[in-house]
Amino acid sequence: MIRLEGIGKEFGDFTAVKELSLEIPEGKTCVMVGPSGCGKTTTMRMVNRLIEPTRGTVYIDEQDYKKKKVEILRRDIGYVIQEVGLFPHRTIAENISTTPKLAGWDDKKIKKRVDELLEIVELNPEENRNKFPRQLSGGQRQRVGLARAMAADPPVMLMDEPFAAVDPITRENLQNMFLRLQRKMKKTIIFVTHDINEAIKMGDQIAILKEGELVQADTPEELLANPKNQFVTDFIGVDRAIKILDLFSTDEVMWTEAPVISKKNMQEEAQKLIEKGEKGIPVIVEDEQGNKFWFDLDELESGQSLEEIIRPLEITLEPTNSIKLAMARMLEHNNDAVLIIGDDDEEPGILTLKGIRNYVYRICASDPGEKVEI
Amino acid sequence: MSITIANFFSNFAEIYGPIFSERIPPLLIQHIQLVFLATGIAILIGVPLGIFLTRPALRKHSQKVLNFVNIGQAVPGLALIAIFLPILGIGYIPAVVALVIYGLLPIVRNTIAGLEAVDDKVKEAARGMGMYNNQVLWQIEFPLAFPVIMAGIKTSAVITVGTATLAALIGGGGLGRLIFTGISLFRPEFILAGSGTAAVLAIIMEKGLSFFERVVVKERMPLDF
Repeated sequence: MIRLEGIGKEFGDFTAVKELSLEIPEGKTCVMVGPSGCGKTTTMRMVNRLIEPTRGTVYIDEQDYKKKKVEILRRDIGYVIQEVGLFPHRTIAENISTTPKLAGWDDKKIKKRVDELLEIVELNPEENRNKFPRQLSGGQRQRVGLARAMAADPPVMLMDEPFAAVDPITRENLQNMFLRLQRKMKKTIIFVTHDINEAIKMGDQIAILKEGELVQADTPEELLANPKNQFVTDFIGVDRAIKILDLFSTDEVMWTEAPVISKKNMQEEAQKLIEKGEKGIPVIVEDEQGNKFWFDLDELESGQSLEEIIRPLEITLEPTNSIKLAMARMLEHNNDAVLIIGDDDEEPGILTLKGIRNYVYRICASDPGEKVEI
Repeated sequence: MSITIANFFSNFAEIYGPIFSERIPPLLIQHIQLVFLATGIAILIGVPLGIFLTRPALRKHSQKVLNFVNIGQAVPGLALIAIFLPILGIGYIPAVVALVIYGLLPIVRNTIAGLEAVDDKVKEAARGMGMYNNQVLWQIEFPLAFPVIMAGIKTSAVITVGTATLAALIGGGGLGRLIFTGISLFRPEFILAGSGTAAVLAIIMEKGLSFFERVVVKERMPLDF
């Protein structure tokens, strides 16, 4: 766990970071994001004391970090920087073994670890260990930078725009690789970026900074649903609604209690539902062969025959899929609902276009600062 | 009177033979000693000075020191030797001191330039991974700056070979003695033999140092692929 406590930095008259307190739970990734000059990199560099804070301190695993010798502290904090900073005069293997060597590991153990790390970051050890950094592509160098930071298996990692210097496709690959790794490694990470999309993708927690102050620190979901003020809303961007689609899963939006009626006497059963006072809910219709159809109870009031209204429910998705995927499938098939079926113990549900629309609108229409339950 | 080519060569051998066999060897040895000693001391002073001047605490003074060292080279070699005459008198030691001062600038300047040129990102990565300052210097900065520092040493050595001929003026010996003897006795062959030998020595120094550099660097870093 990392806890920043009232940490701040002044350079002469200029205040880079005011007074920032933030807690990053064990095994979580906190992404610091904000426009350039907001103090995110300064804040991160205060964590490994490359910048000495003017005030405040940092607790790593409940221990005040100033009690440790700074070089020793840094060896327990993996560090990946912008444009990697590999040592150009050292081979890939030597670059990766930097921290283990400083920690005094024996050669055999180091050699084994280097190969293991190259495998982890998906580079062939045979081909790459004796190369020099300039012989690698940008993406490969980023991978080596990552391997080097993880070499001594530090519990904490700092990553300063680690994927900024590569093309979008390579960046996407690196991000996905890192997410896969992190799921296994469970390191406590501070990740700095200026790209809100990257922040949403990589972060368990997002801290938005502005002019040296922490504006909001929340989970990505909470941040998108409840931006604290106009600045955060603007920073998230005009396509906030689309970002929300990507972030929420189908089971958060679906109806689990949609009534199921048989196709044979659906007209009467529907009428009963209306008499019971039900309104605006999706109703699933099942025929004898088990084919499923659906309609919205509101549609019936126009007096039409149900036969004309019902349409097939042909798409099935899982509760963990994103609403974005559900939207995509609906658009592809010109449908307006999908069936959500999970494991046996999970309740099935129906996700409708109307439901998504209402859900996203409810989140987006609220004013900044207003609390929306998600 | 006809001078044939054969004639010329027999004359040449007749005139230069004795000079190269008798006069040059002891003077050349003196000259080499002078150059090696002066360049060696200049390296021992210049490289550490350059290193100190790039450390954070002293960085702000680097320009001042560079200006001072600049003066050492801006003053003509002859004048520099003349300045030291009343202070240190004549002989071998004053000659070495003057040559050291003269040869210092390229070494200090290139050491600073080489170290400053090391990418900040690389230094930051090294520090961020927990290297001590001296480890950053010797494992990262110095090896990366080495080619530039070496270029400064080569320049200095070549300059010193030339300037060392002036040492003869204050009794420091070396090939300069032959040259100045030639000037005062109107013996052009002395001048030619002395300065020619100094020129060849300068070229050999430069090639030798380049070879040394390649051997050292090749082990660490293939510069050309």
